[in-house]
Amino acid sequence: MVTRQPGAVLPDPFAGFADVEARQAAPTTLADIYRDHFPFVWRMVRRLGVSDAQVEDAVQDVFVVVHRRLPDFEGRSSVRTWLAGIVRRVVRDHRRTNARKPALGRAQAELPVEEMSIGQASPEENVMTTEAVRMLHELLDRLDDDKREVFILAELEQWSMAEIAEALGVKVNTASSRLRLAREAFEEAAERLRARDAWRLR
Amino acid sequence: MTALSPETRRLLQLSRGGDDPAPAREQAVRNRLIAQLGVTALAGIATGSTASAAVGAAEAASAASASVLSGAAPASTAVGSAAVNAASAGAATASLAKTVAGVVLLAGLGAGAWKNDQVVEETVAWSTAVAVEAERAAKRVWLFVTGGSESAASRGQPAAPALDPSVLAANRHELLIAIARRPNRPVAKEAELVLILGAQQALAAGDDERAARYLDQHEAQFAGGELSENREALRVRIHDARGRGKAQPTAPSPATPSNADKTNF
Repeated sequence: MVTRQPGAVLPDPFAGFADVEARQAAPTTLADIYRDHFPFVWRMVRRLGVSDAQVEDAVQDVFVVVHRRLPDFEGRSSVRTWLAGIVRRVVRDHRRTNARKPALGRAQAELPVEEMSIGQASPEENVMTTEAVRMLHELLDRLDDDKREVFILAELEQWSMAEIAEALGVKVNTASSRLRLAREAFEEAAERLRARDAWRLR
Repeated sequence: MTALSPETRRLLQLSRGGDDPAPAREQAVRNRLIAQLGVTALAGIATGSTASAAVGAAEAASAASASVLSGAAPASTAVGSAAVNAASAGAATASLAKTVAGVVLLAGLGAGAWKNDQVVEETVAWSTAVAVEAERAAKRVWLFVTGGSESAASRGQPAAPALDPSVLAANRHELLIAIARRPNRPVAKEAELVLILGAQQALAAGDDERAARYLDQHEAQFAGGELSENREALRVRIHDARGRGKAQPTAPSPATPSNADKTNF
């Protein structure tokens, strides 16, 4: 039962998606999570290797799972680490499901510049970003799933090791070890790419 | 721990933002979720004023059509139209309206409820599935404004028992008034929405006099409300409609005000 001080602002009864009782039990709503974390989910899905043609499907699936599991979310972890766990599982399922289907092409390499969300950048900057993203994805593709996940969260999302460990369900030392190996593997792949492409962005 | 080389750091820096979602694609996902999870989820997911407006699709429509709209349109039409109009009041006007219409269309097709597929906003019927969502949502509002679980808890009283849906249906008018009379509560924005919806609906039906009355009432109750901009935009539309009506003196004199204004839209 919720108790409230007189004069306190009452919660918005319209903001939720379930009934009143579920709203009182849930620490947050699907709408909150969607609003606050959609860009993160989208980036994660793309960087974890889902093809551009499948990104919307995968992101949708993530939020459907969130919707289904939200009543069970007890707030013991942060929303974003909980969400990251869902993203990982959904993406792995997607890749497994689509492994037998014909490849539809890699995400950013085939994405027209005008469809990218790069704010108000100049055309030259857009091209640079597009090329950098293409290279980034190519390098990420060379990491196995465990290294890829920890690298994305640490180097691209700037999460702390504690958060990463929580999201991946491993100990901090394990996450740190994976990050070290991921960095080494990423650097090696980047060296090979630089040798091949003469490092076009330098 | 192994550090990344400056070249790699530069690559990461350059790629920053490149994986962010484009607005159109975010909208596409949102629409898919709306279609999959239902109208009530739509309300929460929508952003900005659209959120408030879209909430009305599920919430206000159920309560509003019978009272504030004062019988201007058949209830089934009014509610479905309210859903579309609610969505159209926000930022992502067109696509959200289409989505709501799509949701209603799918459910409506199942119920055989379509009257005219040419003019979706005005003829879509309130399908069973969407109606259930609206009833559920209205029930939450009812509990809120009549001292249900949360309000009762705040006063140290036991929570009120859940209302029978038939009781809810019979008290929509009072529900709406209760919402409107508590402007300092968050639900007040829904009362705003009800009035804006009423104006939109009246305007769409060609009854600009009634639309103007709703807007006047909104201004009186919510002069600086969240939907003030919508109100002023509707005033401009009413003004346009009246102007166009005067500019066509040779048009046949209609039998009813409603028919008269339909020639303007």
